[in-house]
Amino acid sequence: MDPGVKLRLAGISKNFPGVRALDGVDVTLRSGTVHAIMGENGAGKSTLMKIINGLYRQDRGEIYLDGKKIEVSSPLKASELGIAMIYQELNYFPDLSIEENLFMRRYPTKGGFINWKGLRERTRAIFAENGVHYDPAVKIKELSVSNIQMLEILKAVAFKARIIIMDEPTSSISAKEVDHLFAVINRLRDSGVSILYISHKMDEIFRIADDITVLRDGRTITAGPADSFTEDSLITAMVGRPIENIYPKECLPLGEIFFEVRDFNSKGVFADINLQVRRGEIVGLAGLVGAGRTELACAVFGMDPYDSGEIRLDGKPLKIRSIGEAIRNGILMVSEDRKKFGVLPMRSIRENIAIASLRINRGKLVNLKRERLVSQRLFSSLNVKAPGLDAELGTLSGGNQQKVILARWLMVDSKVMIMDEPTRGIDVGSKFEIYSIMTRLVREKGVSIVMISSEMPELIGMSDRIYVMNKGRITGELRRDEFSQERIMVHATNAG
Amino acid sequence: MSNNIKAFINRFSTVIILLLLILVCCLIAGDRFIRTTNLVNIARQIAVVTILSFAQTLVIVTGQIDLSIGAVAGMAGTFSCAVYVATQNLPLAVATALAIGAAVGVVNGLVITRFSVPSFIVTLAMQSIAMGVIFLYTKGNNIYTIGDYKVLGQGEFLRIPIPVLFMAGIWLLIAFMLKFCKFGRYLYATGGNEHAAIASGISTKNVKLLTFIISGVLAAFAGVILMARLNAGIPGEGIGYETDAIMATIVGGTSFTGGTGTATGTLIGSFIIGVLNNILNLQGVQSYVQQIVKGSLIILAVILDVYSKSRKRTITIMDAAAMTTTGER
Repeated sequence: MDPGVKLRLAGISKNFPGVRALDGVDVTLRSGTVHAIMGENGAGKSTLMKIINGLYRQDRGEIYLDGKKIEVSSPLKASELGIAMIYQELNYFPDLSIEENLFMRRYPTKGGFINWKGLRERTRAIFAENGVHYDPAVKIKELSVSNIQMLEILKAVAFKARIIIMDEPTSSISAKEVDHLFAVINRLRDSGVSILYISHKMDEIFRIADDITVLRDGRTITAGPADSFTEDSLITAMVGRPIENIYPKECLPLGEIFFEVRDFNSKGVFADINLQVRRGEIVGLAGLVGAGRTELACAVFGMDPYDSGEIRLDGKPLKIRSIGEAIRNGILMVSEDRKKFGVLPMRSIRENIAIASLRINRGKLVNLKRERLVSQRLFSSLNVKAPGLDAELGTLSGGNQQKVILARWLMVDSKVMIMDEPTRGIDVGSKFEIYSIMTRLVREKGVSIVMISSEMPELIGMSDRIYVMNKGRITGELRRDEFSQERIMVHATNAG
Repeated sequence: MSNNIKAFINRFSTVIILLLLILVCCLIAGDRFIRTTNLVNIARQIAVVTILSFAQTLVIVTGQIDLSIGAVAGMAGTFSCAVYVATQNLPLAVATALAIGAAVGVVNGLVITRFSVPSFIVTLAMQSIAMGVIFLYTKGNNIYTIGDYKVLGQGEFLRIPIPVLFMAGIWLLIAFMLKFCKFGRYLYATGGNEHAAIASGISTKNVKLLTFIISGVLAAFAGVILMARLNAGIPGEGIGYETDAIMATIVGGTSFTGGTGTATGTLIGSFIIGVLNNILNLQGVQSYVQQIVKGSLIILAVILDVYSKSRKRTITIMDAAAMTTTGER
């Protein structure tokens, strides 16, 4: 057996009632490397990680650690074996302090009682060892997501993890924090830790990964060193067919100015915002996390109050005091926070699609026949993967939930569609479908789209024009022929 | 194929519990249980609490709770008796009760939505206020000799007790509203995820306000029937019904966290409790023992329901063509 191999998965299969989630998957993780597991939503990545972490048991196949066959019977066993998982949704106790979270289940004791002094000392020692400067007594809820994530990683390292599994660690942190995270990952790698890394973001994968394994429909499709792949070959392997151009952009002749935001101000949030969107135009709104883009969108949509300013639709001033008024005027917003502002988890897909349209139709009753018809059409055309219209939305995967939420807003006749991070956390195939929908909306219905996104390739690929925001102000405006990541970054970091 | 059977069991778990219960009753008590008079008796006995349970169901679906309905039933019912005694005008007496119920609902709803106070606290306080008001008014006395008022509780139409007819009517009304009215959808959306409901353009504050008003009106109406059955206005008689209503709602499959639940489920839940009471009575079980048995069986029923629901969840997750990366719920 190759001594450089840390963990080897051989022929892992896992069935759930009626479904084969994994079918003979092989993965070889080398010591001191970052190994990316790629695949669309539902390819089996999470199931595989849960098997490694002891949450599920495989039906067939073996796991070898340092050449020895192991049985990972529980997460506890996994952590004894030196395997740690950093979850996509972080597990912590918000009202407990950093040190309490760090040592949860491992509190040092003295005579059967918690040794608080020892706890503080050991926490300090861990921080000193890793060169971080947190106050051990601070409550977790006062920290940012990236700080909490960093603590999770520290925890893994402190308790002698040799294999760390990271499930979409960058999905909710800023670009700067990603740099910091990658620095930490590089340090870990140099110290011989092996990392299994799950992400949908191509640029990240090529920045950080040494090896790549691609899964599709529960099978290993291909595996090899990262530099043996290109972005295109990776997409083809994941999706199963080549996607010619992931951005199906059509540069159409644009209409007159249709939607305008004039002199928008909200004290301490954003200032002097002026935006113009033409009929059938896709306008990108770029900027760093915290630049005020989402806040601006919420104010325009009537969700948050603003201090002064004017909205004009088709040349006429519009007073929007509530979301209901925005929707009636055809101004819609697909929120960035799907879970909080989108999904009704316990209700059916059909009800979820129809909920925003109900207010617009006349009468007190629901037109069930029409509702079923229209939602079925959207359901099929968006290619939602679900058992049927009556499945509870909470049981679908993130990408499919996003499509259902999008269907909700497609059911409403829109004039202006604000899309806040419309493709966050969803796979390449679904992204492509969402871009295609955007293209159809502007071509067939002349809808004006404002797209907020933190993914620059997406902004550059889909927008006709890009506004860049920084610290609550618009600091730049780029035409399509001026687009470049560098230009956007310059505006996004300049004070204007 | 076995999946279909499972799906069927999951979907109708409360109905199955009810049928099993009835079967057990038939085996134990035989024809004493199955006699028409006994069955009608059960329906009559649960009518008041079922109407209150419909009120509670609506409120719980929106993710709130209304602890004032028992007290409001007592207050509005007793006031209504007083009005009837004074005027001998039945419609006026009933209308007074409903108006009182609506007024309480407005206050509950406004305080809860405009000041963001938890409904548990507001309606608990309202329970105390309602009791205080009615005892102050009656000086702690009951109102007797209410004459024809009692028809509402003791009368029959086509040999069916009038309370049962009211219960059935309200059941159909609520079931229709939840299924076919936009307002029903707004209730589910508000309870299922309030932020998402707001972002969809629903004024969840108004939805909650209206729900508490409906709850108050239904509670008052239940109070009218209760007093008519008792043939007296007894102010304290409504107390305790709010918890029975919660039980029936939960046994009927409504999620305590909001977002799910049906009127039919609640009706069945109420029947389960009613049948249980009935069989224990028929068997001559001592009433203290009855309470213990009832409580235990209700816990059992809810455990079964929660279990079957969690099973259903994992099954549908996997059924979603193995397309999920969200994994466990």
